Amino acid sequence: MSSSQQEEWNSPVPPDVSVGKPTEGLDNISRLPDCILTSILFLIPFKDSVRTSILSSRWRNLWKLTPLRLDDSMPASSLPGCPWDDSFSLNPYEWNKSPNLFPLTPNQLSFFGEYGEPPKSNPLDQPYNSRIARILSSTHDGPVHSLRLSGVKGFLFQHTVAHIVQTVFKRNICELTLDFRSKDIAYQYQPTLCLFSCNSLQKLTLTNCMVPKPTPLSISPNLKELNLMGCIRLDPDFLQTVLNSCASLQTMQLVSCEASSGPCIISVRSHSLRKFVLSDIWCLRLKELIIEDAPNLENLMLGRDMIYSCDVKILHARKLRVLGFISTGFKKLQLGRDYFVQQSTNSTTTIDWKMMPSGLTLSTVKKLGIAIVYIRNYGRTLARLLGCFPCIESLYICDPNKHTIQAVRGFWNEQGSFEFLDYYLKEVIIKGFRGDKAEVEFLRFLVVNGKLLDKIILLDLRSTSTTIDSEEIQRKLCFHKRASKDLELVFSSETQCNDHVSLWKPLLDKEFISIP
Amino acid sequence: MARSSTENMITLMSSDGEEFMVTEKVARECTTIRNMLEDDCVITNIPLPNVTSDILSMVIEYCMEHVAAAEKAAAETAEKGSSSAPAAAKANKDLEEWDKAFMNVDVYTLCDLILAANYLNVSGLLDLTIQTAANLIKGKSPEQIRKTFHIQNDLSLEEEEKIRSQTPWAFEKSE
Repeated sequence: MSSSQQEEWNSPVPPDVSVGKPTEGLDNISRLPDCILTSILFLIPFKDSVRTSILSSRWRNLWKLTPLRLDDSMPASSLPGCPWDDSFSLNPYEWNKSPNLFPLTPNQLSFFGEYGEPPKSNPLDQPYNSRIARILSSTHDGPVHSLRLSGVKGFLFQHTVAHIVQTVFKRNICELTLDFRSKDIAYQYQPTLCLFSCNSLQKLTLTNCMVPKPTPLSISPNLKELNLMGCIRLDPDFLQTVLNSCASLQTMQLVSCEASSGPCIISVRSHSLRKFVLSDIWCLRLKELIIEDAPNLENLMLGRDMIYSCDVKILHARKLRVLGFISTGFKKLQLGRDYFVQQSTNSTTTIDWKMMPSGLTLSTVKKLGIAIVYIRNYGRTLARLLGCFPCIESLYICDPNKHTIQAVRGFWNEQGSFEFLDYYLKEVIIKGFRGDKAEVEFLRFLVVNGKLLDKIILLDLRSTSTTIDSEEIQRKLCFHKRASKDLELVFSSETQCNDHVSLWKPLLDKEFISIP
Repeated sequence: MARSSTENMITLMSSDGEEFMVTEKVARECTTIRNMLEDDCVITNIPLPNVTSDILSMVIEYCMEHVAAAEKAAAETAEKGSSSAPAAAKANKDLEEWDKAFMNVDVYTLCDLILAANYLNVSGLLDLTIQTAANLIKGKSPEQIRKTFHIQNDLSLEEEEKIRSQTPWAFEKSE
């Protein structure tokens, strides 16, 4: 049987019995140190890892040293690589839905031993979950790798959350997610400050929580990722402290957070930061965002409400690859020494943008998102902005507002050449394309001159009065004169086109749920 | 392992006294050796008493392949200014295939490689070998695992029964 089974086990070559090889029957794997064996067990499903306890005395307790991944919301099969199998759920809501199967009460959620006794009836009669709860409280007292609590209305109480969080902290937790979608429980929950100083913690995600006010705040030097979504009473000083003092912080995402005081200024000086997302933050009352010195920043993503009435200055970010949305609605946009200033005209809705040129370019940026808001001169503004980004490969223009745009015939041809048209630009996506003259002029210029263009995607053609005729547009864009023979013109509604816009989608959608 | 003489060569000596000449770049794939080189840059001869010649030659083979792949990718990027996505994806796939073929070894060698990768701190190789071992355990019955790895069961029937009874759900047959 060994040969056939061995193939099935995907160990293709049977042991080579040539001279000098170890003799058959030598138990090599049990010689490996605990830390290696537990990292092997960490990679296999939880149930499989528990089963290794009867291999031999060497293996008896190894699974208990293997870090746990806990999640109260999971039908585990949906998440590949996760140790829980299908029948496992820690979600008390699920237990309650079918009381016969899951007779646990919320109190029994305190399954970690210190805060409650698990049920003591015959183990075979107990439902699967409570047996797991029992394991956690009595048998597995090893480390916890990650914990995610999502809580469903009425089932997670503040003190329960506090207890659980406190318990897992003693177990070297690396990733903690408190993802309270139901705002009723959420806003009551205020994590303690020790959350931020826990040394093992590398990734922290809080949704709809109340952020504690920092009274000299100490932040774990190991924190790599901080995500705050829909959090309230966010103190701008807190953000500043995290940005300034967290030497490992690579990712910070702030979405729909509400500041405790305003208007605020965020200034980024960080050598570790790689990704910074600010979205839907009117409530943060942000007045100014300054990227003062962020040598490793690659992704700067500003969404939705950022596009209005705020100053953005990007002074030093020499690895910036993805930038968006920069908006024509910024009061002031400064790129290096270059800056753009809004100039109001007598009409209140049309605002013109003036640029103070100094010839500086951001040549590291490969993906650029531009939001067009309230501009009178589409062409001129766009041309000046694009002039700052000679190496873009992908351009996303989001044009959410209805407004009349002036078009000057032949304008683009007078702008001379853009470097990206010859060497870089592969993809253009326009959201909110309506077929205005100004848009058509610009697109035609790209079609006729973009030597490497693969694709132009026109998204969301919600033209109510007139249906847009794709042949008509092809003709208007002089598609037959395209510079790149591979160019494809795609008309699409947003839903069909998710993979193309996925990068920017989170910044445009109200529900921003993108924790990778 | 002939290489152009312009590169710095390092001699690695296995536990059984065999010597391997490698470029410094290849040697630096091992974090343990890199740290030694950074502490003492004139060192050219490194004894590795924990690694046999068979295993060491495999570790070196792995490091050379990965260094070559990284160099090739870097050269392509430099040439074209930007890396083309399909080419990079293909190169990655090729390297993955190579890794897979490289893991075509018996369990003794696999465990020795794990130990060597751990000792020399070659993170890519450690991940690869550990994942391979995990694949051999995943979804198998205890009896199958014992057979694969030649694990001697030293537990008495009573002990085994006791352990099973602590976590009976783990031993239930799943459909």
